[in-house]
Amino acid sequence: MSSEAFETRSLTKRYGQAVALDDISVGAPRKAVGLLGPNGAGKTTLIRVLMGVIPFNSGSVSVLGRTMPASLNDIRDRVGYSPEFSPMIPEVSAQKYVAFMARLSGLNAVEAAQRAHDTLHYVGLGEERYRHLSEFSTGMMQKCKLATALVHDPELVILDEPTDGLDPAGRHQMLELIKKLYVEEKKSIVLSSHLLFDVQRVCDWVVILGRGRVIANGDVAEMLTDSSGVLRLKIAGNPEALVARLKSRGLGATSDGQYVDVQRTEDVEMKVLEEIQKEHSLGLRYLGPKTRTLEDVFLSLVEGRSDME
Amino acid sequence: MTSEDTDETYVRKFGFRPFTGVRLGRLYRIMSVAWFNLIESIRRSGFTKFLLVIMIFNLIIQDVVIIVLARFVPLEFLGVTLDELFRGAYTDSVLGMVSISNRITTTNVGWTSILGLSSAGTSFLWLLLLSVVGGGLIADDKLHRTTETYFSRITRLEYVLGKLLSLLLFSAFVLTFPAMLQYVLLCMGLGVGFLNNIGLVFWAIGFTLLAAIALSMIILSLSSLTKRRSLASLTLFIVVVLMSSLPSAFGLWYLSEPVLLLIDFVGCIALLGAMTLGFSYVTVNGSQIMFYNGLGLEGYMVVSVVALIFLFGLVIMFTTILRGDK
Repeated sequence: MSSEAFETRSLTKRYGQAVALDDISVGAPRKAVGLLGPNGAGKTTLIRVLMGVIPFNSGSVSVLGRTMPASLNDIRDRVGYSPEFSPMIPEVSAQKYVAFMARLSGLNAVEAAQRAHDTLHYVGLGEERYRHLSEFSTGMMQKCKLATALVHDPELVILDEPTDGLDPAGRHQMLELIKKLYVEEKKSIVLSSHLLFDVQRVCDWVVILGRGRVIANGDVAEMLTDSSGVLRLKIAGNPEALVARLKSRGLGATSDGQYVDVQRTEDVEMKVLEEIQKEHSLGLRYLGPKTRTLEDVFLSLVEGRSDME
Repeated sequence: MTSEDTDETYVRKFGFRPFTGVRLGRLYRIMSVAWFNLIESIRRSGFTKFLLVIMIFNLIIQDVVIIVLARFVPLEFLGVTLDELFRGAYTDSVLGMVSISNRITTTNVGWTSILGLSSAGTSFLWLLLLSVVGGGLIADDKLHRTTETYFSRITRLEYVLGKLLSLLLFSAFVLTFPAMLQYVLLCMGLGVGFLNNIGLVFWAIGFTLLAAIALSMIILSLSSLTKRRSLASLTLFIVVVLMSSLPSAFGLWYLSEPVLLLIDFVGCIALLGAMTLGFSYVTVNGSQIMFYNGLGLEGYMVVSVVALIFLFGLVIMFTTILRGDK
């Protein structure tokens, strides 16, 4: 079994004169992979190429270790796809729609119907499964799309903007569901989003695209580790007072709201604790390495880049 | 009664479970597309259901006419053998199911044309039903953006074949099945053995399916060019009826063997049907057309028109298969 969820080599996709994917070589492991990038970065195009919905101009693509286009049908049976928009057949119930999609993936009629019931229950649409798709809200439709992607028990689930149009509660539910799929059901996930929080919450690998090129590709934990060697303190009281004290002892310190960042040197922790001890108006709430959010990483990567605007 | 245990069982029952069965082949998936689209197209449209009811009544009337005429018109009066009468009546009736507004007869026996006339209703209803059902098959998918979900599971070729098959199944129900039923009724009505003219049944099946494929390809092609099902449906219906009516409208029947009849491309399929049965001439709206006399409308022209229909349908359908790369 291949350890790669997908891999591309020198992949190029053009729409007429416009280059959507520009000679990209990227691989992602069988984990929860976040596909990040601003609108027009090429996320959806990459997904559509991975699903074989659109052909590519040059390069090579493999999904779950199977090359395209030779193993396209096999890939389609092993991958579940939830597109960005809401495709539907309005006067058809969710149960019928999901069962039909299962049959398109080769499940016999009885198994398809049974699994459609199960999957709709799993995503939380058990009570609404006989309602017509035209009556579904955005949140329900997102869940229905997820059920459609899962019904044939794929190894890899590709979700294109699954939290799009959801309210905070719906978004929380959806992200929990995706996380559950990854952690409990051991499904590989590719989650495309422009919402950094969603990706950080669910994914442990991230691919960042900008104007059809790969900006970054790697483990989320490694990306979030701060390599600048800065110590972060959270202070109760006036942080400026502490900054002044630390500077007087030759330490590089800056304040950021209630936080104080101190450049790491030898015995820096001890010096910080001594200064806080001396100043009675100050209290220490946190002392540890400065951590970054995916947003910090993203901003540091895109800073000054014209292809990420 | 509810308890924690039963709740847990319920949740587990509907929880996610791995699929351990065998996936069925590509043909099954094409059939799934065909069956789902056929059933849903009929189920969703009240107008289609209404037309189907009318169609069934029309078929009953058509078959009753055959039986009543066969019972009450003495054979000696017609001056033909029973076998000739059977073949003529059946052929005219089946050709009439496809020939829209132009009446095609293969015999000189006057009353068999009544059968062709009674099947005219069938041909109009078939055209109308095919337009209504087929118009939305691809157009609706484009409108609701369902094509992408299809293409993430099956190939474009399988998609188009599935759609085509759904129209063929539909045509088989409203055209081929009645043609076979009519054979049985005519055998019973005229007292002819079922196996005496069994070749005609195979001809009827082949001919009606040929007509169904041709018209289905055209309506699918039209449906693939728009997102509005009504536009595709109306275009097919209006164009077919117009083409079928124009030769008569121009009054060219007073000329011998008018080539203008070729613009009735659906009628040409009926003419080809007569040719495949070995007829060297037919009567269209009372005017005789000879296929091999080197004058006016000729057999090779009919074949060319039918071939053009298929070519037109194939080109646009394959364009649909390869398109969508936007």
